Amino acid sequence: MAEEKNYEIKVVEKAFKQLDLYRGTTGPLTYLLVNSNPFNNCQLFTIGAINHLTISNVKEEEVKALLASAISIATMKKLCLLDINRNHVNGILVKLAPFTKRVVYNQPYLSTNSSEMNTVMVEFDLDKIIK
Amino acid sequence: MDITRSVSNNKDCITFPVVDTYSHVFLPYTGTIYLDQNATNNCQLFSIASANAMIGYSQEDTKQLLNFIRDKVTLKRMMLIDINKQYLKMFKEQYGPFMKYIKVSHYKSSNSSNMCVVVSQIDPEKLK
Repeated sequence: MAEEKNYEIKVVEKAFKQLDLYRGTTGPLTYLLVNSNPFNNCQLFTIGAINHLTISNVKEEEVKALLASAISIATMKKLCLLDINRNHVNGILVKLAPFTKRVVYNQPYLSTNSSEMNTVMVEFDLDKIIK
Repeated sequence: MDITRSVSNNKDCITFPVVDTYSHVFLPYTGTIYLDQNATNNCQLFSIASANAMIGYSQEDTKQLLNFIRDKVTLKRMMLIDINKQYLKMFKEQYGPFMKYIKVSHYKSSNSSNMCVVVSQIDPEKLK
């Protein structure tokens, strides 16, 4: 008998593809915004609001399900660009580590509102996410 | 330079005459870039798709183009683009004078292209 899932992922059609993660009957636990073509580069996509993975108590299997949905929306692209506050970089990379082949680069910059931000590019391992 | 704006697929399309990258002569067709106010869910940053079309213009045309773009992204200053490495030098020469800083991250794409993600901050004082 198949194991019953206690979470649900919903894709909301907006200007961006929004993935809402629900657990049980509660409201949305977290969400991601998937932009499959931000630069007209056929190899690269972005995920917005990924800091929610660290704020919410999201389990590894739920991260996997979210990433599988995101990659499916992004037509199976592997390279993903993330824009993260520096405080969240390590937490997010730890969450993504089981599904990542490598971190391509991690570049810090200072935002116009003086936030310390990083642009991080990761290459996902599709075999570990989709299978 | 005649710049126009339209909306397609929820994105701002900025259309302008194309200039030859090397001879700087205007060509008889138009190029389009696509503005994205929220690519990474960061309110300080906007991104541009097909940014290679912005290369090859004179200082005055560059200034006009940047002012037009800023007007369409609620005067945000931080710009994120993804271009091929061969355009990087030209991008820096053309846009460097109007930027506070340019941060470049090189990477090899999954189809082995040499690409760069460029985060730059526009200096509004230099666009006046």
